[in-house]
Amino acid sequence: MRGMLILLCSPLLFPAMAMGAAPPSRANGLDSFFPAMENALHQKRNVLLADDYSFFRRVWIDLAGRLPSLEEARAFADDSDPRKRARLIDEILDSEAFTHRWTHHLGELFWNRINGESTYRNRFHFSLQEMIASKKGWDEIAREILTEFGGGFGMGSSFNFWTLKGFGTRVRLDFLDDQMGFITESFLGVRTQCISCHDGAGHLEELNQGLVSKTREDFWAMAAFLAQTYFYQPNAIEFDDQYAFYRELQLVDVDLETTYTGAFQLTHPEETEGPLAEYLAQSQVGEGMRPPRNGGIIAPRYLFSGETPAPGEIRRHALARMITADRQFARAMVNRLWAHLFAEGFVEPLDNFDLARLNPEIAEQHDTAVQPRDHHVLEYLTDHFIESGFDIRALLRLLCNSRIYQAAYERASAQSGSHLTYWFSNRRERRLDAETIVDGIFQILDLERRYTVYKMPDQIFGTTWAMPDSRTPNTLHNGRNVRAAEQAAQGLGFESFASYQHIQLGTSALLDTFGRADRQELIPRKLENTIQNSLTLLNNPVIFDHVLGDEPAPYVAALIEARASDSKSEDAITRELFFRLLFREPTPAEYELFMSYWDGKAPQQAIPDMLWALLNHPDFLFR
Amino acid sequence: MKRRNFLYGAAGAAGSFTMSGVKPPDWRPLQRRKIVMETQGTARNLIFMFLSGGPSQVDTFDLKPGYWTPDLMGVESVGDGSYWPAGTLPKLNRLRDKFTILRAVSAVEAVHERAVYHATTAHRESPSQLAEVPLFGSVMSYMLHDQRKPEDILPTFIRTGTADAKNGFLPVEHLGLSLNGSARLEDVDHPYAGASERFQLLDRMFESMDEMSGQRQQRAVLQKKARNLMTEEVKTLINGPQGGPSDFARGEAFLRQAETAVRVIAADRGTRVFMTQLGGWDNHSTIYDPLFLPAMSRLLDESLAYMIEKLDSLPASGGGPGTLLDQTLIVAMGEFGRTVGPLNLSQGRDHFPYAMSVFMAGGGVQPGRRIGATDERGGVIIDPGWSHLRFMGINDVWASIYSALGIDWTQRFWDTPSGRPFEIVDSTIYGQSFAIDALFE
Repeated sequence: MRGMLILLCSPLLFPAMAMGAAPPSRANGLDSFFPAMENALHQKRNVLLADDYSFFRRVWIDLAGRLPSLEEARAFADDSDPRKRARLIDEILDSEAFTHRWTHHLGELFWNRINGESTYRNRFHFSLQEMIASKKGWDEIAREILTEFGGGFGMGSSFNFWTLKGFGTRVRLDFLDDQMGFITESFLGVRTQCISCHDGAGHLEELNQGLVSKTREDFWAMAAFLAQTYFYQPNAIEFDDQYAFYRELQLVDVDLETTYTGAFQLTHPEETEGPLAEYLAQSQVGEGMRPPRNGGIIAPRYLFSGETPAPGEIRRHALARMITADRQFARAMVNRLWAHLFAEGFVEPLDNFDLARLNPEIAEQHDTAVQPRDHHVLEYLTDHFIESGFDIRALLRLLCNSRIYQAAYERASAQSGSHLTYWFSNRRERRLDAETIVDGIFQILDLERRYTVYKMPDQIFGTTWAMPDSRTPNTLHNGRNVRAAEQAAQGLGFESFASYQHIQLGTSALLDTFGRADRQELIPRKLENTIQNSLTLLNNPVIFDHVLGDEPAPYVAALIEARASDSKSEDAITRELFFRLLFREPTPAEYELFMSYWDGKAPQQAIPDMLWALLNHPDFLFR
Repeated sequence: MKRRNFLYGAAGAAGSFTMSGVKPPDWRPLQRRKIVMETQGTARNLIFMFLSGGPSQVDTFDLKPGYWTPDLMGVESVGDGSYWPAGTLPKLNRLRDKFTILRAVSAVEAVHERAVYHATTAHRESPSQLAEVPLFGSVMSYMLHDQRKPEDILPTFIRTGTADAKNGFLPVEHLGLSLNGSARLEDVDHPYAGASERFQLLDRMFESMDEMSGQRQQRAVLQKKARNLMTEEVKTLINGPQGGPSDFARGEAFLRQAETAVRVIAADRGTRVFMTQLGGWDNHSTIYDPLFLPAMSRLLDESLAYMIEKLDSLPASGGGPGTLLDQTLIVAMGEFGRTVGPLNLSQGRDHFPYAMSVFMAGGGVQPGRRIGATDERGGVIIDPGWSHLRFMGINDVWASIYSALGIDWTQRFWDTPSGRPFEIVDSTIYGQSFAIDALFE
């Protein structure tokens, strides 16, 4: 490691730029790490950059989950501005597609799902969307979520962040503990739930050195930041009206000195005695999920620094202040953003940081090894993220403008096995996300798609990324009134209720097959290759009725027509298909194969078959 | 330091290609043996029913009645101080001489994610090996590969539901086939004319590509496997002769899994290992609510009884003596047990790793036994019930399963991507595991 540091400081080791591609900005500090490392290990081998088409596809998919159109890509390739890559990155960061993709990203991080009432989920979704669209810093987003109070039906409500554990946990102390575990995982990338049942010592030596010295009581003190918070229903309402019940439900913060009347407390059963606004660590055997707590009133104290709230400070405000001031808060997000672009984080799993293994000095103190794959780069990026005001776009901009991001890694492989070359290798290759595949296919076919979401009767979504959750379409009818359902479907621009159902449910099944996250069951997104999703891409009628069936999609019909009228040659169509689907020229072997496929076939046979084959090409499915 | 112990002897075996995670086409893991274990080899097939969430052992296979036990359990004494819930497991009650219960099993993990991982891989979850430890079915698929016949068209391993572990460091061929929760394979038909020319184009397109590596190569392999399954026979075998809807409510879906498992195993077309999954056992609250444990128990009862009776009615494959049940080991277990005695304040039971029960039938397991015993509440193992005179670990259960299938569970693979040796049933933390002799003798 010491040798590496010397190399990093040497300006002589910066390699020459690859020829022919527009160079990323020289000012990109991230590059100062990797060329030196590359050089040291590979005898001054240059880092080759991806060509314009590959880069264009890659950056759109990574930043916005969107397969760009061929026309856009051509315009980009023809542009002679040497700064066009940086300009493109800025343009995508400002796009609506970016907002949708990253709203979805946060929605998955927070498991924004139906907890009791779908309106909560939908409102939290729009709250996140608004925060991303208005370019709020990650610290500001965290602060807003962590200090949320009030009902869940208001616009801009983060109420649903509190219901995931709040509604699933019947014992109040368990709710406080679970919610705090969820907070440290999602905002700090540290799993602390272990020490909510037992001290770290004697349990976590092999799992998390940083938590070994922490005790159960330390964890309770952390959870005590939430002790003034509970769910409350202010008015006596008949419970047979469930909707009214959920509408009236409030997240109360006693510290805020807002008074409520009434008696129903969802997470505070009568069995629990003592002051409501304190963490009273007093529980019996069998009370909740954890061993008995026996510690009296526990005052809030930040788990990682020992800091306590200032006199008179609202406790959840103090928590938000300490979390956002914690360097780990920035580091955890940097790790997530890096993993998003480079397929793997510095620390994996992403919420499995061990704070005793952050760098060589602290790791040595604990007689253990460093955890991050490269702590120099991680810390450099963390500085950058903090200095930019926790600006997610700024960090993504830095990463995407770097040579390591723009490297042509597809054909490379890390033969040396060194972790330093890891991110240049084809390990970065991943299958596209389910949403990108499904949206992308319909876009290639020029088929407009319209989706709806339960409890949002008037909203139409054009992409699956934009939906709060793609698995719960609006039902349009209550199971009785078929005519109303027909009218509603036609009102939304569908031929019939049957075709509405075919598109909503068919798309949902496709997304499932390709591994979208199942938030309801808390199953994360999967980018697996499976036998089932291979079969789906060969045979699924929701897709291929529009390619191989009797009623071809507009794009297919247009190509057939162009060929039949001889306005496009076989050569032109073959090349267009390769570019439209794979963003590249056919190789000589592919060109020969596809050109010979025209022989003796009508356009209405040859064109759909080629399109079908190319949708099954690995270059379409991978990034 | 402990890590060092893992690495001994690995340096020489870790060639450059394994470190990159890219394996040449003819790659096969190096195998070496530490000690050679004699195996039972009594089972040809395995049906592993995973009860995710962790069923309460004291309300099912190791019933310990108390004032909290509701009438609907139908507590029945079955001798030597043991009880059976005849109300919620009625069909199995009549088949008690057909299966055996291990009651002295102790898990180590108490959190779902880690416990499920342990119970389905025989390895404890370690971030450094997360990407390379395979699911049990992938290991079996690899180990049984040499026994495949040319006419075997189905994969050795089929599973339903989700699992964190996959093929790990083993070739993607051994990933196995995953069916949806209703045990259905979708999109098997290619309902468009002109298929033969079209598929020829696809084949030649793959031939025209440069040599692929990594994920692209895996994709190509799986696509080929997928295409081999596109036959009417496979569709009927997996989806059933009637076809029917693709999505069932949970209860029916689970029964469908059991039917499919039996049908596929009985067809003897290559599938030897079938994993089914029934979630919903995580009853922290209102465990006796008719929709919770009692409803889950009846589903379990229904499907286990179906599998036992159906397999027992079919002749053994290959003209062997006995029935297909004699050749097929059925195992049903969760990831851990649940707290015992009176319910918690939410009227439920919480995670409890120290005692749990495992159900086994067929495949050479001596039926009608209750092996090992717990105290009057069910929380403390008082009689191990086997020759090793200690509680049975999750890994001893797996040693028994591998042994029944004739696979030496102590075999090690040395050239894993991390360079750490992989042992089929891990012995690095708790020492050697053994097949539970009381099951077979």
